[in-house]
Amino acid sequence: MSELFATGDFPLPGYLDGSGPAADLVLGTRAVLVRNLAGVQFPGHAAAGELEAVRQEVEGAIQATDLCAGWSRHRLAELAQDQRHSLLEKLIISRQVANDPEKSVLLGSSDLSRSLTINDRDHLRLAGFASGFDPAAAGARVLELEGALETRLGFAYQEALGYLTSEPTRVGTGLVFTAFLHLPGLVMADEVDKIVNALHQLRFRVSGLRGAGTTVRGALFRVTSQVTLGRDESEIQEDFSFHVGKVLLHEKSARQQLFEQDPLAMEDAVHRSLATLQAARLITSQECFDRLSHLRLGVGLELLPHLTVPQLNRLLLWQQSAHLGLVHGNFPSPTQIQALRASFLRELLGSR
Amino acid sequence: MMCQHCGRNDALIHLTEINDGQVQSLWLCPACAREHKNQRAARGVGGPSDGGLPENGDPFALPPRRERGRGPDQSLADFLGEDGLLHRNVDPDGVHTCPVCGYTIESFFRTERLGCAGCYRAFEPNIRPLLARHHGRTIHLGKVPRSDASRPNLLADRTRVRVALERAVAREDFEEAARLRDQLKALPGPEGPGSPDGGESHE
Repeated sequence: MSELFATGDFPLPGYLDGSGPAADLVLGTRAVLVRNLAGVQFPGHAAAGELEAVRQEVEGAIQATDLCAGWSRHRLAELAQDQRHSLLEKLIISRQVANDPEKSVLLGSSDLSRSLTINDRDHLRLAGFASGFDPAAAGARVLELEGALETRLGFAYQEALGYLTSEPTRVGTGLVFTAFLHLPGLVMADEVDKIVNALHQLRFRVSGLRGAGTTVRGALFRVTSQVTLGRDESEIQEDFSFHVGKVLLHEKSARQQLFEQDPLAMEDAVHRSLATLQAARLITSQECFDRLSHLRLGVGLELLPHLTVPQLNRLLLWQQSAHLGLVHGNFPSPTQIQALRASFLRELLGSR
Repeated sequence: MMCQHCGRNDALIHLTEINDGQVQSLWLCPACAREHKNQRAARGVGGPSDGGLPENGDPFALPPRRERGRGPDQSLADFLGEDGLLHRNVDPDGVHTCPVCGYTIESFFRTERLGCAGCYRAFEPNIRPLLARHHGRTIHLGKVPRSDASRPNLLADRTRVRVALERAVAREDFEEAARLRDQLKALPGPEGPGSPDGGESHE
């Protein structure tokens, strides 16, 4: 069994280790870069034989690259459903390949700070992750990976439009930044609509944690940059850092105001949620996300000195269904998932 | 910024609407804004009660992504086309099938994806307005493949300096702006000495 699916001590990918800037507010930052091989049709339209040739060519280049030495490698179609979905819960693969894994291969470093999917919507989907809010580090990781591969692979490129991608909304640099934000202050202060609206006008997309169409749970949001053409890589990164950085300032001030208005109510909400998580025998994913959101807020406000950000990240990641599935195998019923989730939470938080 | 509907004229009018809790905003030129208003009037939408938040459920839950071509009346999106971005007016005498890979323009409208690199050239009249709306600019300014790095890209150089100039003016750094203006003049192109420009791609 690959270390990607190891369950002992509930390991965390590097970007969830809590070491980065503003790690209580931002789970992590991701930079994705898409590329296609010149002269080959995009994966959505290419024949199976062509995609197999793409896979061989890219894997050959990776094997010759020092940066990718020791990486794990998986054909996504050969993984069990829970394994594949656990990669989605880790935010490593796209929903597109999770649902249509047939010709796709995932390669990644052991801490998952760099990974690469072959034959997603584009031939190559490179990803760089950084802990907390650190677009510069995530961007540098993915660009270094691309730089290592471009000496061995010929990418589809045109002078006027840059790197050509299957979706025209990604053409140019092919570079997209995403930050996974925890914004309970803005949600409680009823300010989140304003922020979503402002980000939308600045050409950022805001959605639930798992991307477009997913509901917001536990005040966790994903903010993604949309403009890939007409700006260079550093401008895209600086623009993202600047505007998302402002959202974080608003979140901090909203928290502070809420706490100052009624510190007792805030402490009450935080400690009630902790008690529920320590006591529940059955708990749904939705409730768990919401209660963990209170805990995270409590840690940010220094109300829970015995809890740390990496502990919160571990709880958040491993209470999800596919991760519970990695530990326990397949479940007969939804009730059993809720029971296993509750028991996992009691194990990590200490039972009452 | 260009009009997000026609992609041809300067956008002067900013519209923001909330439909089913989803915020939509759009920059339009005066002509398209007038057309938009007439279309809304014709459908009998508008007025103070229009465009609120959902009455029930979690107010912080974002709505699911609208299914293409269906769903409730979403005036801005309807106005742009059923998915809100694509420019669907196909020239009957134009190219409907990519000569490189055989991908059709109808497939592009349906999936919002292209078949191969050659589709960018084949469907250029339909892609260019989309690029202008989505990205704001239509010329690549980022890194170039190492094999191309030695080739000068005059178009991108001119655009890059012009963008830097606009930004310098916006933050009232006039010293920097003057320096960039001189740099722009010195670059080969229509505003300076040397060869003719490759055609500025600000649609």
